[in-house]
Amino acid sequence: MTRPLRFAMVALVLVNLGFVHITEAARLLWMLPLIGLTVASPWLVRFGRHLAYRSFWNLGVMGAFALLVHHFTSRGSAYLLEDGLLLAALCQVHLLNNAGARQKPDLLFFNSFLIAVVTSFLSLDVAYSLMFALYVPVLVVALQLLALHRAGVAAEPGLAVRVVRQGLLRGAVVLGVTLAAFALMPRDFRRKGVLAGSWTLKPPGGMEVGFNPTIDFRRKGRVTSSDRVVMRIRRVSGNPADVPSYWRGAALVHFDGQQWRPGGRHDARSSELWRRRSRAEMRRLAGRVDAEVEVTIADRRSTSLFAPLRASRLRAPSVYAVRGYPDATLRATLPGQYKSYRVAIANRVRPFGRSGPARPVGRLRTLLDVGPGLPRAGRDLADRLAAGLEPGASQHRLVETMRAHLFQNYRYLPPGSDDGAHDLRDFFGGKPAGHCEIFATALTLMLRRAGVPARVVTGYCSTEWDDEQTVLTVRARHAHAWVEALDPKARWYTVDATPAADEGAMTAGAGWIERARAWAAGLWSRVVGFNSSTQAKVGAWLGALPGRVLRALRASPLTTALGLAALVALLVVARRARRRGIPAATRRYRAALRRFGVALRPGETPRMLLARLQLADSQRTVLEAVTAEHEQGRYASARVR
Amino acid sequence: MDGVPRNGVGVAADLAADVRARLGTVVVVPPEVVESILVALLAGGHVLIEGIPGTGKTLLARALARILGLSLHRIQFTNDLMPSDIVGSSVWRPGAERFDFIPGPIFSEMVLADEINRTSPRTLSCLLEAMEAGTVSVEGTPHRLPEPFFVMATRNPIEFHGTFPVPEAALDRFLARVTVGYTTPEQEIQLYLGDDPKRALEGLDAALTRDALLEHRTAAQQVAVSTPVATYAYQVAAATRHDESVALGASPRAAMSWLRAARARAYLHARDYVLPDDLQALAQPVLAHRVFQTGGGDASELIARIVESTPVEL
Amino acid sequence: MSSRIRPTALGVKALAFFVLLTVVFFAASYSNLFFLLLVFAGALAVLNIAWTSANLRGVTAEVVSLEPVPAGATPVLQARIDPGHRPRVALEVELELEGKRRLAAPVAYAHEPADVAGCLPALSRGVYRVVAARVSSVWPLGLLRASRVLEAPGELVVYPEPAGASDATGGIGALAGDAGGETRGQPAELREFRPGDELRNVHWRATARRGVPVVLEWEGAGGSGHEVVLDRRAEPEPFERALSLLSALVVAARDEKEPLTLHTQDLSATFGPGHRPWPELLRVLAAAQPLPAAAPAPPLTSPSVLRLPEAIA
Repeated sequence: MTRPLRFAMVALVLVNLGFVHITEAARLLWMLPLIGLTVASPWLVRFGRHLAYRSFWNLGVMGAFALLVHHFTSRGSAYLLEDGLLLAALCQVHLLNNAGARQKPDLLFFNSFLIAVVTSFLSLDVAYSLMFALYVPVLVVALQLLALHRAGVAAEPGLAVRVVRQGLLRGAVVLGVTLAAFALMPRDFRRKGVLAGSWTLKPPGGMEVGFNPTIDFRRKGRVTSSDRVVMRIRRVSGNPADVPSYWRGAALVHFDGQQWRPGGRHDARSSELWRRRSRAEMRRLAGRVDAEVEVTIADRRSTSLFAPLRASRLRAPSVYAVRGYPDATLRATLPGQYKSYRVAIANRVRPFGRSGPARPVGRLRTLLDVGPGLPRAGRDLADRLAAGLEPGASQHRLVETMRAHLFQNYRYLPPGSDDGAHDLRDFFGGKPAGHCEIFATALTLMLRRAGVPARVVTGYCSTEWDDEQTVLTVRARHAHAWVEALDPKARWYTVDATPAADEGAMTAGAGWIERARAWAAGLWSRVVGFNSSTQAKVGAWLGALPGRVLRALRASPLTTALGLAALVALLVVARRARRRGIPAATRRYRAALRRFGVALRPGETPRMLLARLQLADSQRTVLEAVTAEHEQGRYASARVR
Repeated sequence: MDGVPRNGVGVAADLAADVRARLGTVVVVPPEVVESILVALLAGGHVLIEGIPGTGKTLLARALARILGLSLHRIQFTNDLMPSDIVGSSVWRPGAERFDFIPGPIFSEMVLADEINRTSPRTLSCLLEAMEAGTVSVEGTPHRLPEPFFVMATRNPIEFHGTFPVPEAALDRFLARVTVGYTTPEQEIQLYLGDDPKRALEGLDAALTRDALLEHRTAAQQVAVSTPVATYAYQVAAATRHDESVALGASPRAAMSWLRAARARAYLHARDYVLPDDLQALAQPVLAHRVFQTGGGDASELIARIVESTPVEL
Repeated sequence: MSSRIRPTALGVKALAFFVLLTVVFFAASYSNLFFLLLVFAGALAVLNIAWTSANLRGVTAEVVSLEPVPAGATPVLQARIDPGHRPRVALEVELELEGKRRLAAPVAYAHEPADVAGCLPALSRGVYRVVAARVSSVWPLGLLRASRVLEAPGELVVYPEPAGASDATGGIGALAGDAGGETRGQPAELREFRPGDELRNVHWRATARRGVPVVLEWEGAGGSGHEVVLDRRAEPEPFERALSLLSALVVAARDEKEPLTLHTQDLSATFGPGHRPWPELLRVLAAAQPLPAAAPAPPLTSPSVLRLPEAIA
């Protein structure tokens, strides 16, 4: 195999490893050996003729496969794609390190494409766009070098350079055609897969990074904070200020001292959302919508969908079978495919249903149940704070007092830190610090103790807007837990006692790198969330472009002149680029040749041409003159002596 | 149509014509051969003449020496020629009680080395060293050779009996290799009818002095080489390296010698810049003996083919 | 002349892979990125068609020669490819022989007319029909092969391997002597020495007289040429050996520019200068098949004529 081809294949596999890396299917620590083996493959492949070397690789891949099977049986199928991706990456490295006379590189090329496809299911991150833009030219160059190799010709260095240059150009062409076809080709954006319904993956049990549909203080262990994008929220209409930061995934009501569980049907009447509404009500709501957003979820593993508390309407493709629950949360029956839906937000809508005094306490028993969870110190604190208020103080004032107390006197620590409290006993005891779940639990139970109906909500809290404030990016590290309280008018509202809860989100938009990143992410989210309306817009924009340019040119004599000047400048620049470094005398000589309709043969000098041609005397004089001029201009100006 | 002559350049053109005319009275040699020899002389190189005996090589050398006003020694190379026969040796002077160095025939401004393929490699290398360095070391004492020092070597390519192959590295020492063959019938008949060459030789007088020649040499190397010309030289040299039938292509040194010779030719043609035409005219004499084909044999055809097919960029 | 585009083996695999991916795409719910990748693959395929045919457009090629070769030697295809007005990459002239054998002469990068040569692993004796001759290219992506039919010789003749120098020099010499005459013929004329003349033919006395090497030319050297009878009623093994010897004889006769007369069943003809051309004889040898013992005998000749394979039995 030729060296250029081998290097191109190394580049291809490195891009593949990049794809795998952005899905976070494996830690960087696991990827490093693969990268090392890839880079070392031109050296390692010489051992391919030894049985021991090949056996080592085959056993390695089989061992990895066995590990993945074990993983599958123990953790369920939720990580199937990630595991498959890792296996595919390992196979790439294996193929590369054993590519030789017997091992054709075909499989490597197909496998690389497969990795790109699978990665597209797992990552919506802007990094994917970079990897894709890298992948296209690398693949084209590698294919070209493979074609040369197959054609049985040796790619000497000069040819290889030419091939690579051509390949890069071709890659750019393919990329352009691809993007044009992607933008303009009509298709059904809401198509339900033929087999999509039967292809379900169960969400995994146990601990996971990021959003948790439940809270369990018995879970211990290190929790890593990840930058993985789990969701993109694109503002379709309305102001950014009307799109809340808190995106709810699950509402939790029952607490047994260690674990929070969702509520049952009995709090159905307390919900404002997802209830059947009359047509009249819908009309009334439609006029009050403040903002509409489109949500795209990349977190395949969760069946939870996310919506803000004030969501008033949900429009999802029916295929996703999204169900609204009484506690104003959403569930999809089908995990394993990222979802896209629209949510209308109506912040100013008055509480739905009958307004009036709070419901009888009995009805809200569950929401007021403190249970065994709040330790004595916590109960005392709640009582003390409640007693400290003047009589007749509003519920809001009570809630704010308690929130402010926790916010100011307790410290936030990331989950899993040793100094933080692991349960409320620690929290109210000797360790006044903890993560959001502790804060949310403490505040909820204290509020309940003081007679305010409250619940814990988990989800995401992000303020990572792009520069244009069109796209709100939600990452795994934005996972959060907070509190919702029910006011006397039967309206839920959000209370967050966690100090610096959105610290990470606030750092976004700092330097120009961050801004550029946010801009790219916003752009990419338009590709990922491309739909029929976007397509229509792109089509209309492109269709109107020539007309708009013409209109702009005709708008005033100045613009016309500017346009013409730009055109002339373009022509001049192109001409000059073509003739760079050629003296005027030589150009005149060329023109004379064209005028006489003659051309230099290979290896022929102007003087030999003069000797060869049968010319009339006048013509000969002219040609002799321009020849002399050309020689003088071209060769007499010494650069090297 | 030639460029405006710089100081000395025009003189050289007249000189070349003069030399040619004077030579013509004594010996009939094709003009391109005379030009190659003059080019080698002006470029400070040496020349290898190939040809069958009796075509006037020796006469040419003698005539040239007279016209240029240079001293000439002829060395007939035989297989028993010793290095000391060329460079000279030290002789014991009993009266003076010391060794005196008696310079050999190489201590001459012009040396005609006849049939260099008849001598042993050891003796030949002695000549080559002198050509390369311009000095001769005898018993550790360097002796400078005169300036100018110009070697015209001849080689008989027909006879192989009792000859030694001339090593490839040795061929590289010669700036140019020219082939002298039979002249046209008319010229030859004219030769028969003309004066006795020996007498004609006696009648020749010098066209210039040694110092003038040295000045011309210096001036010739001031001729300009432009980037397109250097690029063309490279392209041809590279083409010889990449040709399939070539075992050893033209080295960078060969290409540089080629450009040096082209400067001298441009000077002879009263130009102060080199044209691709100069390179083309000198491709055969300068490059053909420095390119070695896989099966042996002469590379002239290969050079001709490459020169014909390499485009001269405008 | 129209060119044809077909997928290569890699292209067929790629097509299958693409179909599979399309099926998966439609089986799963719509996904923008998956669609993007599919479009990319499709764009690659469409552009590939354009690029590959563009690489061949304007290229002209011809098969220069396809010489008969002895069995055991590599057949060589010589062709000339003219890339036309712009440089091309990875062109080749290929011959398809019967039995799925391919003979390809590639050129990596052509910016001017190039002579190319290709060879095939050695073949056994026979006449191989040339099924097709094409100039083709898989450039740039190797997924498609654009090709155009060329005119080419109809067959490749692989004649029997001439009996080797080591084992049969004496044999051939003897056979040739047998087949020829016992004398060198009559001295005909004296002429000047030419390169290639044998030293033993130099006429030293005349040389001394004239001062230049002079060669004595013999008229009818080797008599009226060789004459051989090939009786094809033979077992395969001796038959092949006979063919091998005969082949050596033909090669020797051809080099010496002497005619050779072959008598065999259904053929009795003289080949060589002034007679039927040598390639025809080589083709006869390449195509010769043994006959059953009941077949008719070869034509009658003088008993002194060399008879194969009896002479080597």
